[in-house]
Amino acid sequence: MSNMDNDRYDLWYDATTVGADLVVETWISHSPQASDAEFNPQPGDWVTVGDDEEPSIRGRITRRDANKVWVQLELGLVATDAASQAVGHG
Amino acid sequence: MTGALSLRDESAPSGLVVVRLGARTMEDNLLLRSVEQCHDRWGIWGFSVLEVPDGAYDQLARLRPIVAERRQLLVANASELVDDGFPLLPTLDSPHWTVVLAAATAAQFGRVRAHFEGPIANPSYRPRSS
Repeated sequence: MSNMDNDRYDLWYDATTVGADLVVETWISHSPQASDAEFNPQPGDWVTVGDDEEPSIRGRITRRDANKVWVQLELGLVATDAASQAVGHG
Repeated sequence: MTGALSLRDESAPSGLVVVRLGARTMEDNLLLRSVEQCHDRWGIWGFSVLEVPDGAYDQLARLRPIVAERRQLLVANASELVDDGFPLLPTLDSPHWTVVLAAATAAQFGRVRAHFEGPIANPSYRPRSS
């Protein structure tokens, strides 16, 4: 069992697809929030991305196209309290 | 709607080593997500790997800063993938490649997964200072 099983994040990401510009494409339907009808991230919002292995990372949404959300990661900041910093969690 | 697949003008050099970040990213359920995204983007079944330039992991981490964030990697020999029927396409910007699958099936996932060793400790991992 992963030690990251309790790490909460908004959007799942495939780390291998993160570009040199630190932008990664994520899908809402692939994420823990997939069934949350109120989860409606918009460009400019801060979110957390995770993959159940490493600590989640904060990032800013640069673009959204329906189910697809592009996030630019901020590698200098680990999301220490993902729930409080992300959209959809107040 | 899928986009145009644009390839770099390069072929996989002999001895090319490729990695996937993380220890679990070749598991069926996670690989399926990646393969679905690839299919949506380009209309082909495949997933991302990163070339280790001349076997230098620190150079890879300079090209892709996210690499230094990962403790573990899965490693494969590109020529073995190709020889077993999994072409590598030079997609996006270097060092990114796409491993092509015939279909998004558990059988294909199992076959391609067998070529990846590890997880190994990432030589370029830089622990965060808290």
